[in-house]
Amino acid sequence: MTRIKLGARWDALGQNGRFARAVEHSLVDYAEINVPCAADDWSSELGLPVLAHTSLNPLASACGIPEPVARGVKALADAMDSPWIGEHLSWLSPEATGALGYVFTPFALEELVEQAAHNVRCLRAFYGRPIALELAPVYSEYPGCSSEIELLNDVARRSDSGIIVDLAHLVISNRNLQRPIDYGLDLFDSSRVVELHVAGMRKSRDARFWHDAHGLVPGDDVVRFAGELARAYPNLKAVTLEHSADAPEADFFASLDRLRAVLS
Amino acid sequence: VIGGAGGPLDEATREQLRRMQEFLVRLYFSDELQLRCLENPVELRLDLGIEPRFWSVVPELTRDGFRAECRGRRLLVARDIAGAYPHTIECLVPALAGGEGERVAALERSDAFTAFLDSEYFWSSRWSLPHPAGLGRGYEVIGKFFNWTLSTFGLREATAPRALRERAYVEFAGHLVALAAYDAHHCLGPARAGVRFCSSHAGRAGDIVVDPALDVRHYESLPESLRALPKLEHLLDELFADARGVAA
Repeated sequence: MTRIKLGARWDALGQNGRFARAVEHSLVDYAEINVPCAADDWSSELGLPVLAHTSLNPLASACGIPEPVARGVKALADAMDSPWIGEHLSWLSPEATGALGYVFTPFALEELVEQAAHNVRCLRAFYGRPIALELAPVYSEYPGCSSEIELLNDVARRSDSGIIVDLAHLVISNRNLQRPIDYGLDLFDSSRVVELHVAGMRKSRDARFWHDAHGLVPGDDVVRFAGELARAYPNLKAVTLEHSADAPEADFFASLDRLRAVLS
Repeated sequence: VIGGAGGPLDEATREQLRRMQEFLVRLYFSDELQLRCLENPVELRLDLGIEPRFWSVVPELTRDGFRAECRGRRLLVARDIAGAYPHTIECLVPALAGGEGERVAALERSDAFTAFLDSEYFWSSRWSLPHPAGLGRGYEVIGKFFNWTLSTFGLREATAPRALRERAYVEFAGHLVALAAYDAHHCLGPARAGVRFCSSHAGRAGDIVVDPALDVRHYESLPESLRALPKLEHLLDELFADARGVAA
């Protein structure tokens, strides 16, 4: 058994069947449950450990983090004894609450880093358990520092947080910014990386830009990087496949198989 | 609120961060704001009360990457609206046709959609429905779009365009009834049994009922058994009382 666990993201009741079959074939070691969701629908009888994750806390907001989402995340994490909680380094809206679709990666001025680190420290105290931070894909050159990875490292260091490297997001950002495909793999604070996210991606129909696509299988680069980083990051504990509930089950199993192979 | 105040930053600096957050998030959606930023950035910066050193991180608005991100974000909002209001948007976007992708793209390009994104109905959480899991307001766009349509086209007036009003009411009512089934926090509870509304505000009108199975039934005279159903407009008055109070 490898020290690194392989799991998959769970969002909805419709995924319980495929998770049960994945457990039967020893393909998953844990589920990553995204809040808010109907966590009561999760098949707890499978006995899988759970990682709590959310993209609905605006960690970088100068207004702070609204308590209702955090309360929901804490309740799940406490009930399932999640070893850490995954969070996005982001803004979500122009005001104190709400979310206008997908997360916004904030800019990287010193003051913002301080504010985000303060928010994360307060959130960790509220949760009473560690937090791991994740970046969204980026589409434009990153103003304020050398790259979005520097921002993440800075906030993680100042708030003593872990890091989730979302390999699909990183490759998407690299393609969008025309950086080398493996740019950044050696820039993350390797001692803080506890988890990798692995997912598919798609290219715009009418532009050169790439986007997250959980309905598709992870590309070869992403799977290969997962294998390489499993050896390079000393504290890596988990690799999570993000695959949509309505995407083919055969793809779900095939992706887990490929990941299991590169991690072993 | 967790975090926010109480950290190492003074209030004036936090206020600068708050203004930048509001400005940059709006910039991704608002054509009007982008135009102002391109034509006269200094005037805009002064209007917003943002210090020059914070302004240094404003993205280059003419770059392909920024344009692509804006379009992607607009498309995500348009997809939610097209999914919830397939018939309503036919009244708002000329010659809407094709499959889901084409319809979403046409909505995203439309003047109506741009006007919605530039309105306070899109920006303010007050105009959204409360989240059924108790997260509060601001996490959905379906209620915001309905409120924008209601106000922009005067759907509560006797002169309201009948087809637009009926489609918007039916589709919003369906959304509300479906959402109420998952309402663990009793914000939307009364809608769980279905809702009713008059088919028009003009003259004598029948009633329309959206039931818990989301079936839509028209009645010239509402049966006694359905008269206890909540009226959609009463629910709206209750759900958005605070927003209306502020707007007034």
